[in-house]
Amino acid sequence: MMSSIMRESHIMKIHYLTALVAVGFVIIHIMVRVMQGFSDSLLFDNVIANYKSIPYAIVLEAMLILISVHGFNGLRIILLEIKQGRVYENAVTYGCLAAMIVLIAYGSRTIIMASMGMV
Amino acid sequence: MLELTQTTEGHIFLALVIGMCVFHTGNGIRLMIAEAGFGFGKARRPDYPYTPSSLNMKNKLCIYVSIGLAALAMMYGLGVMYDV
Amino acid sequence: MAAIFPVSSQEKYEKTKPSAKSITLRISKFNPGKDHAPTFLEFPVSYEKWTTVLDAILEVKNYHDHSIGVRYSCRQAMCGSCGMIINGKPKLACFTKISELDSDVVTVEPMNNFPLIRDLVVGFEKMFSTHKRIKPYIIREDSEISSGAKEFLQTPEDVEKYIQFSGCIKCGLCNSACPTMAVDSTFIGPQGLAQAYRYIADNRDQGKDERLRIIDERHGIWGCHFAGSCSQVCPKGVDPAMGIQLLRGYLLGYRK
Repeated sequence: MMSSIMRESHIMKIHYLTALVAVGFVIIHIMVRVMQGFSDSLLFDNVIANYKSIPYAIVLEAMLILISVHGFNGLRIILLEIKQGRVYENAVTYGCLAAMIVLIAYGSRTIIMASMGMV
Repeated sequence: MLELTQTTEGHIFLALVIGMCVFHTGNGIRLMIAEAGFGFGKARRPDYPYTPSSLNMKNKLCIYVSIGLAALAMMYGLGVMYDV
Repeated sequence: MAAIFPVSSQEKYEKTKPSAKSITLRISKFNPGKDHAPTFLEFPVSYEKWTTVLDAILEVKNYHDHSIGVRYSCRQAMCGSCGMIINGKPKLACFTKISELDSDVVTVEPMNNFPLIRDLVVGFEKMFSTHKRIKPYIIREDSEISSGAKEFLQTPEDVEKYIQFSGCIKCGLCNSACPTMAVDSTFIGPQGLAQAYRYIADNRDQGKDERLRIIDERHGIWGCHFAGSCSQVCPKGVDPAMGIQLLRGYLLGYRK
């Protein structure tokens, strides 16, 4: 179980830290987006142009990682409250961890490929 | 997938997401501050009518502020999405 | 002169009943071994300004239905025995006046989140075993006898840090009100966590790390989301929610 690898207080410290830092990055993201009109910002070429800018791609990557970690840990917390049992808890913990890794991997692949012009 | 967000239902869904995220952020910051020990007074010898000092106006106000900010964010979001 | 014909309890009740206002007392009746589902029995009960819900239940038990199962003892909010749901809220029956409820119908049910034994009586084994788990005693290598001191000294300021939480009478109302306890059967609960803080905050205790290790788990302190229902219903002003947030400060590194 996760708590045997890492104490729950350490997981919660990560949970709180990712939340605070993600809020900062989301504020930066919103401030950048406000500079472009809503319908223009959704045009394909404009979206791809975001990834070409390395600092902005880093902001997006950071948001992806922070929000995935915070979100899937939150989902794990909710699911563990609803039902208990050793098998179920292990399945939820490792399932959320796996989903987190898959989402971060797939999202990072998208960001890297888009920034390298492969999309 | 993106076309779904351009519909009226999509706009309402995104507005709800904005509202929930803003409330979650505000409430989360309130909880982090509470866990740091701020905002609920000191432990003291209880006396009738035993009103709990942790459930005070500061915490209630922070929740209402979070709801207010969520409402404002939803209105702003809807304004952006409908190009107002 | 002795009575020739015995007076029935109903007649005795009618003669001694003072003239007063009246409410309908709805009592939940359910015997898990015999009944299929809970039912509510209704009884008219007269009350005065000082009549408590426990008084009303005992009047019904004495004069109308002797089979009502109810746990009570001190009748003065010290023992924590008579916890039950009164008009939807967990309260002590002996500490709740009917006049304060401001309702013509008073519904009493067994506490939520506890296994039901019968009618208004619930089982406390789980709560007591959770309480034992958090080691509710001073953990210290020496004692007053071995250390040579007559007593371990505490300033009034030291006492103020934990005295509030030592007022817990183990009534279980906080556990009954807690929304996390309703879904998470392995959650320690506000009573256990508040008592963990009571001993950690006591400067005579040296078992802080031991207790923090016990509660530092998903179904321990991190199951609490500060709903505050526990503090809302506590009849002794223990404020378990405050204790739990202060305890989290230790685990997150805000307090040492």
